[in-house]
Amino acid sequence: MQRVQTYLSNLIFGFAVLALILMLFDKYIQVPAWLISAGRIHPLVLHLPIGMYVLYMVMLPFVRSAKDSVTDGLMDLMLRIACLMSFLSAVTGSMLSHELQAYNSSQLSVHRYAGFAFAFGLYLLCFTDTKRKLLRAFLLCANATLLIITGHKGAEITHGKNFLFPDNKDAINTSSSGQSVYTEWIIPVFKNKCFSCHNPEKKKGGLIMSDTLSLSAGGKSGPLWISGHADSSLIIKNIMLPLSDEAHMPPEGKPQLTALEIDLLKAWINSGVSFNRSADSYQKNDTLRIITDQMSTLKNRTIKSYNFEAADAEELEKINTHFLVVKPVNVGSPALSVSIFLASEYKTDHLKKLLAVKKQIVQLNLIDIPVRDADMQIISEFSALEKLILNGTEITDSGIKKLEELKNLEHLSLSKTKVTNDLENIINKLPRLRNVFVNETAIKKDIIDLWQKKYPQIFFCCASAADEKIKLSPPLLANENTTITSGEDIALKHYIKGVKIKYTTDGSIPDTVNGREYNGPFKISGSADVKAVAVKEGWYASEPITFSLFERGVLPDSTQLLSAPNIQYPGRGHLTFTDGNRGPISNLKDPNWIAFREGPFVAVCRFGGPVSIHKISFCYGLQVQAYVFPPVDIKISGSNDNKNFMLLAANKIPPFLKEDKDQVKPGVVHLQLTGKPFKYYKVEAHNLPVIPKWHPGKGEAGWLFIDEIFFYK
Amino acid sequence: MNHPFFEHRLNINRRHFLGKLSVGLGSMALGSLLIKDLFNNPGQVSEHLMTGLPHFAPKAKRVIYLFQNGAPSQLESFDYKPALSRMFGQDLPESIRNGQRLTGMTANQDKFPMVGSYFPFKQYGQSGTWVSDLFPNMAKIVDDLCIVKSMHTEAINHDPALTFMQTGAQQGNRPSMGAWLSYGLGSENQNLPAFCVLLSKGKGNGQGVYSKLWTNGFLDSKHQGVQFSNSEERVLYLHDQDGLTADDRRKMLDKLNELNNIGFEEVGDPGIRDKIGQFELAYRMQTAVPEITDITRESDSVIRMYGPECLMPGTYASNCLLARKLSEAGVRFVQIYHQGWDQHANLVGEMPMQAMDVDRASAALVTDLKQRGLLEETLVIWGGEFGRTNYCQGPLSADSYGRDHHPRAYTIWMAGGGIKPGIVYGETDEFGYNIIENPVHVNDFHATVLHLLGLDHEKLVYRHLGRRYRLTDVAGKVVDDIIV
Repeated sequence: MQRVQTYLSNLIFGFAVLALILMLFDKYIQVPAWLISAGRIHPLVLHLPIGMYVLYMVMLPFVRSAKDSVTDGLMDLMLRIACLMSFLSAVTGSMLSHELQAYNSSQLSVHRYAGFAFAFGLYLLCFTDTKRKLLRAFLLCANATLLIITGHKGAEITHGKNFLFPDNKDAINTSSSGQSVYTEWIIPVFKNKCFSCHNPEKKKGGLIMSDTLSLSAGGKSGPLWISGHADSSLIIKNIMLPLSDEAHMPPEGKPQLTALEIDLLKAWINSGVSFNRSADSYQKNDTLRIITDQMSTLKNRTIKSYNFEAADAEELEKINTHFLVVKPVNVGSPALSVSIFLASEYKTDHLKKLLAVKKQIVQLNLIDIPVRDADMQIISEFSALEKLILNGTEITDSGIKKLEELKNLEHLSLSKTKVTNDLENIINKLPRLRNVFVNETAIKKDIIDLWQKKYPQIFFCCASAADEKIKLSPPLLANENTTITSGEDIALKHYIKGVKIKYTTDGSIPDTVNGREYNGPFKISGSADVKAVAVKEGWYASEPITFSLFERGVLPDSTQLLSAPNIQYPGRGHLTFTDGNRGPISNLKDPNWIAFREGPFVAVCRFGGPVSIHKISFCYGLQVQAYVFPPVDIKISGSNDNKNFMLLAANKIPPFLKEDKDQVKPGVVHLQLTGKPFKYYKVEAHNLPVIPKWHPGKGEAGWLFIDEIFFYK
Repeated sequence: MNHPFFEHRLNINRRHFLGKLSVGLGSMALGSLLIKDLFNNPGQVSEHLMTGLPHFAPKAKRVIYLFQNGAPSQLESFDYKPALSRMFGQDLPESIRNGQRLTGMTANQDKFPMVGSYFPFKQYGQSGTWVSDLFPNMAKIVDDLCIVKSMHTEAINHDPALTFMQTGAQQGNRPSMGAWLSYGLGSENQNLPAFCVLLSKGKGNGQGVYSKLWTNGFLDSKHQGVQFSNSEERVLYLHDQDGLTADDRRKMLDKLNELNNIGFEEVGDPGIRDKIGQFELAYRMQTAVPEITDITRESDSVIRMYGPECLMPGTYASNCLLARKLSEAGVRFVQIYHQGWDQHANLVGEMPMQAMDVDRASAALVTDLKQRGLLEETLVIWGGEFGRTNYCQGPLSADSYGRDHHPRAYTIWMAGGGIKPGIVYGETDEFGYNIIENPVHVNDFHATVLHLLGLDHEKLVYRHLGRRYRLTDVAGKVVDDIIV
């Protein structure tokens, strides 16, 4: 014990001398770089002497009555350690003050000298004879006073002047609703863009921005602002300098201020630099207020807070099924969004299960779910509900009545339900209601217009004018193929209910008067063009549509292609044109098309024996914009030995006219034969060799697309 | 299957193994502890996202993307440039073209004669927005739309541009937008795929669409878009064959799952687990799909709104109506493609037909959603992959011209889902060639869409091939100005 005390005494003495030097020769001292961190332990060690000295004072009355040497020794040790620590604090504090020149204010010097005085006061106390009670009592009191002064001034330096007792004059301006503009908006900007350099540790340019005091003090180049004059303020000037300028802040490569942030700073300086005024205390048309309002809108867009607790995660897990989905609105939000899916799987139990989380549900989506009025009793317990979508449910007015208690409801969708004008009785009981949707209900437009006037805060959406008369689409052929077998039923259809189909098979155009009404499948003899229109009350009749139906006819046993098709459109080779499958005109790449451009189409069809053919129908594609033209001529010749062919028919097709250039349609050439029987029939067709001048492809060869050739007895 | 050893094994692939090994060794090197994030376990990167929840309160819950494949001309739709008509036939000044590359189709042209819209424009709505006569129904709803006239992209040909618009990269190996949303937000309705694709085709010059546009890329295969059929049966082979009852089907699946689980325990391939999941989803879809795709019960007023073809499977109108039904049923992303917008030649002849295909139904979808109170939570997007040139491709005459691809400026519109209604955003110069105000890059568009759905595009990441991937890759800025 004794040795420890001796070492301590020596150590204290050493520190006392050091402290004395530092106190006296402060101006000449330069702290070397490697000692800077020594200064930074000041905030740590300074609390030790305070704690120990206070403890010493508290224990003193009890120890006096004890009067034993061990306790006295411990008390003495405590005092010496406190003394050592106070010197350590003084020395480190002194070094720190050299690092932070910005603190060279009167506050700092009071703190500094009071600190030294306290350390030396303790030193005296340590080495004063225990018998000189009066002197000790005086020293005890004096040290306590010095401790309070040092501590208080130190705290003011670190935490700001108004830390302990906020300035009441400013406090009046602080509205109850929020923080000051400085805390809410300015600090975050500084924090993100400035603090990394201008903090007590780094202190670039002698500027610290992390507390109001040093912020107001400014840096080496002087104060940051001239209150009320943003444009002549240093901080704004530096921010507005070009990025390449040395003095531009924040420096190149660091995150820059956004335009809105700059405007905010300017407005804040122009409005007189207050650290305490809240945004609400400014006029609505004040620039600063406008900017902060804008910033809060941006902020609120992504954050919505609720004042209820989140539901238990395990509970949520239990409720969720494939048909009942309960999820937090976003990560970390206590609010729940609920959807129920699949009408065929719906049970009232789904809703009952939700009662476990009834306080957290803010959105409930029940589209097309057979929810009934009785179920609304359960929904009425979801007190936080903001959005309720009941489109296509079986709800009626009596169910809606139960929503009265949902005072948070903002959005109510009731499209395609049985609600009536009685809805108004609920609307006026829901104070936060903003959107009501009653499309496809019994509520008429004039009533809604009336409500819209009566409750302007609510947006009512109802059907637009749906009575506009529009044209029907043409009927469709229900048969799978336009190539039909002899005697096949022809069926037509239309997807819109209640449409009447009128059709003809004689080539005339059907309309409301002309043509037969379609009542079911019918038959045609041979090949024919079926023309049809769709008509329905309240709609314009459709454009007539033509289905060119071809009977399959006589099938050759085999076919042989004698000329090569274009390499890009080989179709199915020699099988393409007798398989009964037509090519779709919208897709010339379909393998039911075979195309020729470099030379004519030449093919031979072999039948089982000599057959007498009276008619050949040659089907091609027409899409002139894509250079696809009709053939220029078609020749049919017959043979029985596949060597000597006799010309049976030749058909020159008249040149294609410019007026028809936008046509996209299948074409056909019918060739009449005498009926003389042959085993082999050769078909030759030439593509357009030179595209005429009016076409963009003038001078090039046209394409010939063939999908089918029919032979008829 | 449930044995923890197997659970563990299926999550260990070579990359994970090496990643974890590095943690073990790395922690021994004391000095390196000072380096932040150096040894973060790759598996943890996106862990917080796996909850399938938005990062913050979302504006939109679902997206319906009406993709106009082939690139509709902005100059004949929403970007009104009367000056172009005055400068008819004049050569595009080099100072305006400013080195813009050309496609192979116009590279040989020695002149670039400018041509204005053949179709007149009028102003509509409270916003006084200019819309061409080709889109009379869209014109009626301009006050619900946000028309972005300043979109620009990097690609100049269809396939890369389309792929860029859909996946955020021009090469087709990244997940599509819908797959990212499925990954980020999960499926709302477990009985349907989170990402559905509907195709239709106009009569105009067509460009193909390929399944790579709705791919899951490197994400799990469950995020892949499911293409619906254009036949009356919207998902093929979904119904049970004659003589097979639902019970039989269940038994068959149970047995199949048992067998798959044996395979899974033997090789531990996570793909097998996905496959089991897909079988189960398909089983649930047997009930869900017929119920949801049944559009025959729609009221007469709805049918009139979408037009006479809306009940005919495979038409754009029926796809729009089906998109509403799917969206109502919780499908996160419905992607519609309408082909046929590539008017290199004969724009005057083809564009009216294309416009007729989509005008009524697109407008009807927005109106329909609005009337049901669903527009505010459903984001509808209409537009193509790039714009068309202000000069003519091929021979020019007053009533016949064509336009080539133009990546520097094009127009799309968005509605609902937290988008500001009734505004026009961005502006092009009087030539309709360059953007002069508020450009929106494809990455910005993606960032904005993700933002509307409550996702931070910088946090929605997936680690693959040793780096983190995003839909916006390393760029993208949320366009705050068009958000409510």
